[in-house]
Amino acid sequence: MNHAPQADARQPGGSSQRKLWPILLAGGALLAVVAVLSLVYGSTIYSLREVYAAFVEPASTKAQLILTTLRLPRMLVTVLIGANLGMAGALMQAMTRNPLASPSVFGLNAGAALAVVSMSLMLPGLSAAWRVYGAFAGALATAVLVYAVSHMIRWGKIELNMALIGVTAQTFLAVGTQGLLLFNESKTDMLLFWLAGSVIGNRWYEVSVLAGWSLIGLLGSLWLSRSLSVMGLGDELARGLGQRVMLLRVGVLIAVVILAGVSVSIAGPIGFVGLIVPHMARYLVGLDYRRVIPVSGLLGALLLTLADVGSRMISYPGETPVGIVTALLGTPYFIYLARRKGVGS
Amino acid sequence: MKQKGSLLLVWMIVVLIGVAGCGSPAPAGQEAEGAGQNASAQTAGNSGATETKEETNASADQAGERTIRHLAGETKLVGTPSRIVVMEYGLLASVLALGEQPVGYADDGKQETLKELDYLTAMGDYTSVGTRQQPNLEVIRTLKPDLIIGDYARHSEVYAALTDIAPTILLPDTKANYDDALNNHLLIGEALGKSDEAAALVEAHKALLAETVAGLPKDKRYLIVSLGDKALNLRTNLFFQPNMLEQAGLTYALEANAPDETAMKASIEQLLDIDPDVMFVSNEEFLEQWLKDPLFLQLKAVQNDQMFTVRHSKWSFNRSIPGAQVVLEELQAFTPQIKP
Repeated sequence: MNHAPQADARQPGGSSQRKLWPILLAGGALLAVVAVLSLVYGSTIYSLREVYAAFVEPASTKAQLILTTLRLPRMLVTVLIGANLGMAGALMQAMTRNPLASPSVFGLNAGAALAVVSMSLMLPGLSAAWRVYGAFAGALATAVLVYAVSHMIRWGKIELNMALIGVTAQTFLAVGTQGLLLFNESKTDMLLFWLAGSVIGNRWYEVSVLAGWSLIGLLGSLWLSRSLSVMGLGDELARGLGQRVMLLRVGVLIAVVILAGVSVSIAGPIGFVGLIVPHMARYLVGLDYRRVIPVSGLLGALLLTLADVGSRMISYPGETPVGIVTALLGTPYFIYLARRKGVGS
Repeated sequence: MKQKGSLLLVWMIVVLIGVAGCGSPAPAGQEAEGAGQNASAQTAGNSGATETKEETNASADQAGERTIRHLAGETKLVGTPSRIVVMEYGLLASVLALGEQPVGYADDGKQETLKELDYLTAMGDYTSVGTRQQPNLEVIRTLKPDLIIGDYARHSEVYAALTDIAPTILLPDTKANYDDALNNHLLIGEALGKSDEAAALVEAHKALLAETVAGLPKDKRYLIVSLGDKALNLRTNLFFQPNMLEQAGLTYALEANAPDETAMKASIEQLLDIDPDVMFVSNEEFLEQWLKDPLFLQLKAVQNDQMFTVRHSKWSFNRSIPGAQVVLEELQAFTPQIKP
């Protein structure tokens, strides 16, 4: 993982030439294994035979109900949100040319969370399908704010300014959320659990809300990935090569807002997946974003599903929010990234 | 220059929106209670119970000078306090039950819960002193109280500041178990110069508890659950209401894993594993949604019609002896429906 991005760029014969399909195949196989684990493991541990039977033989046993109405939708939600956050992180790192960019670092998750918390306090009866729009609005407003403020600063590099403004915005929005909770203490018992980032209790309804938006976001990201590789060369050069830079920026912004927003509205602000995963992807397949973005989606799904299985073991048989597990994994990695020389060049 | 100016403007607007969103700024210097305090609070609370009795006997002249020993220290009181500020629901319940109206209460800026608990009329005119988590010390000072009753877990960090305003006693409420609540009631009685009334209510309560539990099957496993949108909040046997029922001889279905675990967040999966015989659920607004869940319908208590809906404010907030009386009365009303 010590490959600095620019080192790869100078050696076109290096890892960027690695074939994509073996990595996708191996990652897919690993994801399948972890996904099965997440079906097997819980407060009751089922055997593979029971899992198989639950999906093949129609019988209304308790085990079958748990597997088909609880663990399978939860697994799908986790896989989708992991993929969303991984791809959103890769998109942001590509567009801002900043290896520390991610929906959580730039405050998008916090903005979406503040919007969702405000909505669920003011309009408690609102369904998840509507909360998504609140999350979009919150994420979009934060992104625009961070972008606008960092453009107004004329000193320093814009990439660095965006990271600093993003972290500031994130803290500021988190304080806003805390303030709301403080004044509505009696209702926030469960909101606090959601705010830590949790995939618990998601059913087929949430899968249906999540799947549509995720599909749009994920396919859109794959489509954008062709142009993003050229962006890595810098705005001037990209423009020279015929890219419509501003249009691309807007496209990426919309994709990121959809991916991060829908994820937050379902599972709360889960941090660090969008930060770590693109680095792993670049390590595996090099700098070309046509490869980095799909691999980031795959690795994001893998990481979050693994973290969710882990979260069931921490305070067994109780549940720990998965966001706490990703924070445990991500914080040391963030420090490692921030300390590494040559960041952002 | 122009750019700097506009940048400054943007941040000013952002900050303004933020401040407006947060309402009136609360005094700083208060952090959420740490888990570490809790264990010491528990032991201190229990050892305090014996001391109280001595104190009660010693102070024959109830309005005379007396020293109240509580979790945060010792407080000297002279005369009968008449301007009382209270900062938590359970403590308020004891004050009201003893016939006193507080001049100030930390109602979190709204009265829904007070209304649900039927306390609003009993309270008369009072001044809101802000949130329970961060009460406004300046408002408390302007009320010129002669007694402040706070929650140890929430207010121990501002004990010195509160004492500077008026004699302050801090009692366990947020994390109170049954013994704490008994002790709280007697201590508040002593502080208000109404030890006899307080003791009388405790006696009446013990009689009602024994009577209620006598009518309930002992071999059934009981559980109190607060419903959520996706997750469930299961009360462990250390939570106030379960703690009372367990001490009175009922079997509670969920034991705490740690000495400070009063509730456990869980999915329906864990609830199915516990599968209690009798279940009390609060947060009724989520019940309809849960009753559509085939897994929820698999619960023994649901299938046998042994699930009872209760008010969250009464079965969760009101950790006090008067509050326990309300729970017991409701429990008695359910008793004919609980199958032996």
